[in-house]
Amino acid sequence: MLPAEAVSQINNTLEKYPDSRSALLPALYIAQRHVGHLPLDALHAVATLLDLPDAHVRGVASFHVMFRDSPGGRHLVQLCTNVSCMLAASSGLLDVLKEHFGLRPGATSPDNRFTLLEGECIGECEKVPAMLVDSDVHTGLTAESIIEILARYE
Amino acid sequence: MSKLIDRIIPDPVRCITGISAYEAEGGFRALKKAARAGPDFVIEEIVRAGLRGRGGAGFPTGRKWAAVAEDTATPKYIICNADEGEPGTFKDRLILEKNPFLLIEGMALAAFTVKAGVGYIYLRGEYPALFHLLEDVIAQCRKKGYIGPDFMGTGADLELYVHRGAGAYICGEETAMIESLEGKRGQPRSRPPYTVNYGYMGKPTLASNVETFANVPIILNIGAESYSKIGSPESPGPKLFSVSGDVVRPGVYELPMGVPLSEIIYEHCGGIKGGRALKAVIPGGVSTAVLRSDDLACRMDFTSKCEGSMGIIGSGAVIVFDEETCMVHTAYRIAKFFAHESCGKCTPCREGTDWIRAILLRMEQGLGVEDDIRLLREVCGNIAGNSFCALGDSAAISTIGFLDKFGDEFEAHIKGKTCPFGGPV
Amino acid sequence: MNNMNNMKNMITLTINGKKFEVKGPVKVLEAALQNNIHIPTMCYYPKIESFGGCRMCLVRVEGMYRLQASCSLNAEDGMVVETETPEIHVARKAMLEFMLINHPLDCPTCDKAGECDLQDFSVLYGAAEGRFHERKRTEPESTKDPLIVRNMERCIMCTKCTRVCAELQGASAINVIGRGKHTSIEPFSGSKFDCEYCGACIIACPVGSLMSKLHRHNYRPWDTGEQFDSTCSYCGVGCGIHMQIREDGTLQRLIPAESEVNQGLLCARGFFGYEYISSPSRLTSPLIRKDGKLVPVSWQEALKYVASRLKEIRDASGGKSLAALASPKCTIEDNYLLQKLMRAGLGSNNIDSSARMGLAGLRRIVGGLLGHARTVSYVSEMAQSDAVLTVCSDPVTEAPVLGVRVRNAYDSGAAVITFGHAPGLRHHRSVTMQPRLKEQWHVLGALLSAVLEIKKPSGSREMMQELLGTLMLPTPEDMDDAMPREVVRKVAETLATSANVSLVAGRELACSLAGPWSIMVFAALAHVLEAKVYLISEGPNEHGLLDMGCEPDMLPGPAPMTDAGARRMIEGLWDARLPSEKEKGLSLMEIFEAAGAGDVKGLYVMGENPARSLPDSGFVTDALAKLDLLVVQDIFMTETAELAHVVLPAKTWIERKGTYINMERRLLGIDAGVGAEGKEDWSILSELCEALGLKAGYKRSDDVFSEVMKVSPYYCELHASNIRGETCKWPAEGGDGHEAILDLKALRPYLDIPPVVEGDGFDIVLEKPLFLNGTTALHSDALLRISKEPLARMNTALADSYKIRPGDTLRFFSERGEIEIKAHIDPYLPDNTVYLTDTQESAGILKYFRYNKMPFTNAPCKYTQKTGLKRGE
Ligand SMILES: Cc1cc2nc3c(=O)[nH]c(=O)nc-3n(C[C@H](O)[C@H](O)[C@H](O)COP(=O)(O)O)c2cc1C
Ligand code: SF4
Ligand code: FES
Repeated sequence: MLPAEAVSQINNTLEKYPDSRSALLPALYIAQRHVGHLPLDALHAVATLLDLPDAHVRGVASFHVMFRDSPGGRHLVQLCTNVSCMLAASSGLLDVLKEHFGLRPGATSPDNRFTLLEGECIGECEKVPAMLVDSDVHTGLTAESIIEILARYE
Repeated sequence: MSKLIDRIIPDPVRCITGISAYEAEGGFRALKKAARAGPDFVIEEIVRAGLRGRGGAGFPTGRKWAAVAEDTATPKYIICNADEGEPGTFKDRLILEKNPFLLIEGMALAAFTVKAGVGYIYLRGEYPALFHLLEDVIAQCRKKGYIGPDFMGTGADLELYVHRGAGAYICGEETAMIESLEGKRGQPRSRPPYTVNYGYMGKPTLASNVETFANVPIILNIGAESYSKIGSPESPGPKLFSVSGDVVRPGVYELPMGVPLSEIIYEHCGGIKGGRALKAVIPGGVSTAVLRSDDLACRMDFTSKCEGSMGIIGSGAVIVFDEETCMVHTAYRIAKFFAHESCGKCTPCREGTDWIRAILLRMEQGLGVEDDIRLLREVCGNIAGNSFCALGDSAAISTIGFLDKFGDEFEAHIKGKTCPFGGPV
Repeated sequence: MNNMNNMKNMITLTINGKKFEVKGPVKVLEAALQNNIHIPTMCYYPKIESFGGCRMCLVRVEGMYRLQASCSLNAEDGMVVETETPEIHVARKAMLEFMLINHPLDCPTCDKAGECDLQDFSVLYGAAEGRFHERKRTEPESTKDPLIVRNMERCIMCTKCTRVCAELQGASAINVIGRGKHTSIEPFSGSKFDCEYCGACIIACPVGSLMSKLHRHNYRPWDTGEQFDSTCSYCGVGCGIHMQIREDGTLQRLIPAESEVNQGLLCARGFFGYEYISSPSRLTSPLIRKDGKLVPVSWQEALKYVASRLKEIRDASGGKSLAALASPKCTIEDNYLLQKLMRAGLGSNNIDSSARMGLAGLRRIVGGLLGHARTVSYVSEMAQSDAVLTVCSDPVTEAPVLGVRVRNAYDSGAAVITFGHAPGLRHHRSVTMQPRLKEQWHVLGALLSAVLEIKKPSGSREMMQELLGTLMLPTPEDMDDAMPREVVRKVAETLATSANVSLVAGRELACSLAGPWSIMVFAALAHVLEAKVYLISEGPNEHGLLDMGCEPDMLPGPAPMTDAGARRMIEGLWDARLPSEKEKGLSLMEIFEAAGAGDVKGLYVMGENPARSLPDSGFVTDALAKLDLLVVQDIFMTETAELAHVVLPAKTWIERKGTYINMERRLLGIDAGVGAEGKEDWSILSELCEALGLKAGYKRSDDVFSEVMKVSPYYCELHASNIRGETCKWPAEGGDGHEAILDLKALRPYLDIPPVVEGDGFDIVLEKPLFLNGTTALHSDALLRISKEPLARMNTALADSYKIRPGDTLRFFSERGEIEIKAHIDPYLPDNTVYLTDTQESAGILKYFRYNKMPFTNAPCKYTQKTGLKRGE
């Protein structure tokens, strides 16, 4: 079950759309913000609120990179390795993350602080390499700066 | 008076995020003009200006607006495609950061013209900060009556909402975007029926790119006549180019359509970093075929094509590679992107993009065999033209482009059983 | 898309050099198919939206720059299409190669081999040479579901399964999970399906990805011997089924048929529930109680014994002391003979059936008021409704394929209004009206008032005009506390302004505590709205048994007992005497009341299990125990058979021939596919008739039907060809029949608004079970495996007031007894109501209710005087 606050936030998004179905992505965002990830019962709760079939909701959630079906770390790190960032040797930063935080792509650090995704382009191609930590954009990364930046996330 | 509103990104440093600043620079003048002159005038101006969609396909915008305006079904919707997912592209982000009111004005013009009461900005999930910025900008506009019920006394209504995507490149494809907005898996729809008649909720819908909407106020401000004189005759107007990679000054450049590629790279971006030589350029985002240094004379607009490629301008994302870049690795990284982003609806793209990725990975690792180049070409050939939407085609076009232009590097990988550039950069 | 185009919708196009004219709008693939040009497909499925994903159907269209997916391309005038060129073959072979690169080559152990599209097309276009050097995707076969085996390695992502699940069945229980290459088809849980188990996905799958466990590794398509079409016997819809028989005469597989009724759909009961036929607990030999124990005897001994005991009781105490229960599971022929045995052989009018709980009263009042032809509405046409009102009925469980059609209507834009509880339409309703039980019928009356404010009744049916002039109704304002007047008015407006309205009702309406008034309100609504009327019969042949006079006051035909002409004709034909028309027969519950009082001494039960299925089942069981003679003719040792003096093993619907009349009043044939021990019901009865001195001598069930055709005005114009083969709709195509005669005078006492039955505490609503809907289902291993444990569902407020947490064991009690059931909390349920789910009668729930007999119809209406609830230990 979702906390009451999440339920009321989801209900508030309904007025934006002509039907409740369309509110699915915002509702999933809200649910994930409150629960941390999207386990089956959160999906079921969203489905019930929006009057959608459970399997439909799971199908949509699983289509998107931003929704997680398992808990993961406290912060989601998406390091871009797409072409422009690749040219700025972002793959070298993967090694830094592995060494310094024990972080591997697709996995969670042992201290449960971070989950790392080898990301696709995040549209910061002029200030490469770039990464998203939760909702924050960090650009022009170097081996030093990435360590320093991540150190700020507890 | 001010020149600011005649440009999409008037000031590369300043962000106009307060409505009074925008008004002071002459903002909403176009909307006021349209309110006086009526919807038909707006459509006529856009048609005369010759504006073509900036989302990649270059469809004539005036025809799209007219089609939605003519459809008698109600309600109608407008959707701004701000999903900007093409790797290397970040020009829409810049518009939203620096001059968001221009987009809102463009959307208000559209709502007034096609008689749509509700609009959505489908914003890519990876731009979380912009979500809040846009909500604020919309609230400011609504408070001042530039949108909302009977905005500016036009009798038209517009409620605007920001809808956040959640990380799926395919949701930038217009029909997939609409499916996604409807709360479904973002997979493209068959056409016909077309979005203009059967879009969001099955209703007439105007879907356009951020930059396209942003061009409309400019057309009305400077007049179709002057607008059409910018750029090339078949593709008039200013265009934003996102330049990244091994250039001295990467960034977004607002230049007339038809500007030669070499001018962008050498004049505006200061040439190649570290004084190295240029090896290759992807001219319009990873969906377009790669070019060699001897192709740089080509003009960047919707009509020019380079040998062997469909079109070059795409989303206007210029990615520049210097002599030290491994083309097999680059091809692999792009193939990996397409395999990751294939929605899975159609057979050739779902299976084929990943097959391409796997073969390229093998080659890059020095495990390629003689026959792989032929196999790769055949797999690409089997995808191209047979996939449901352009994503599958793009994956094939990209790979074939690398094979055509840099075949020798592939052969070197196979013969040498290793990457001559020392493996991944 | 618009009307202009529809006016001139003939399209001429050229396919493979030949010109064809087709009716548009139509896809190129279908245009070709109509002209016998077959284009290979994987993801195309008739009846649902085209998808265009597999890319097998690529064709070349002149003037188009790339190959086109013909399944999703609209045919247009002047189009020139090529469907088989070398270029197209190359493309199709390439698509097959893509499908095969991640497909295991396990054809030898795959049950689909032999009827697998991927296999067939690979043969047609030539297998690829195997140039995929990477590792294939692997995923272990999932056998976690009790009935559906899911093998995702074989899946080619045509998504037909998910689309039929969503678009046809309306269940949306499975979906594509993941994206791109990492997609698979999964139920919500990822393992168990927890779905409606309609089987549509299994039918749709072109490869071996979704398979029924029932035929796992024991079925090869090429081994099939004979094939039969028949009719499912689980409910009143009467879905067509297709049986494939092995060469050894056993059932190999059962799949839905493309009959006019179900058009390829089935529900879980039809698709999975048939395997009870080979249950080891089937009765095989006649049994007689000797020294308190049932012991096997020969047929000869059993029938002789039954005949002599019946005669003894008749001679000692008169026909009045004998009674019979007819069965909606049995055929027209069976029921006709049972009734003949009772009336002519034993001189008793005491014959009734479970149709008393629903269709008998509904059909008499609604059909009588509106005209019986008006109650004939076709299941498939439900999908074309513009508005649907379900009245205290959940068609998805009571008549599943009808329920699916309501969902289809909703998906095509119909307004669906669920009045009362209809969980099956949860995702397919525009408005829910759920007043408290005590007031619900009054709210329905208020709805009729609101409709009448907007729409004046048209049509000249005098009886309806008279009824509308005299029927008392509350106004929406009167019922404001029960249901806001705005809601009532809004729904009334929707209904009154829709062109094609359908009304659905079933047993809850027939058993309403508000009496015949509520049925009249329903009929009046149908009249004013000019609606199609769907009266749900829960048994497969309720109309048939009613037509055969298996009611205390009716004769076969049907004709009223008092119809002198009919009596003369029947007596002449049978060469026997009917009981006097003054002899008032006993109805269903009266039979048990009389048995309890010792007035009925002998009871003949055919294919019914009253000890389990009637309300106040404790009382019913006591009454059965008091009988001097209880004869039970059945296929299982039911709770009722346990009490019997004689048990006669019968055959199931799949082992014999005969005729049913479904809820559409369509004549449907059942056919013998497999053999079994036991005797067909009609033939047992035929022998008993003869033993009791009647002329019988029927050799085949058709002989019985020939006699029926002579007796019944509904059937008299039938030809042999109508009976089986072509389905025959009746009396839609015929007159109104004798039973149309309904005397409005008799209904006069019920025209006033009935008083509100005050009760305190909460309401208890029984949800109808989709899977275990009766005694036979309880012998289906498959249905037992998917049925869920019964739950008491309630909202948070109610749970809080009793301090109940989810999973608590609750004890509900009434003056009749107690039941234990687990709690489930669902915040979105209405207030003060407890829903008992999956209450197969086995949960014993019917013991807990008493009943009232509804005046006029004698339907038993469940009620309790006090309901309470305690937390378990
Ligand atoms: C795979 C794919 C991805 C696309 N992504 C985007 C995108 O991110 N932004 C965009 O504006 N258009 C994108 N498009 C193009 C849109 O489908 C559509 O043509 C465009 O939004 C129309 O707007 P316009 O007329 O203003 O160009 C994409 C197309 C494809 C096939
Ligand atoms: S080409 Fe096919 S699989 Fe790929 S994104 Fe388009 S529809 Fe989806
Ligand atoms: S049948 Fe046309 S694409 Fe599958």
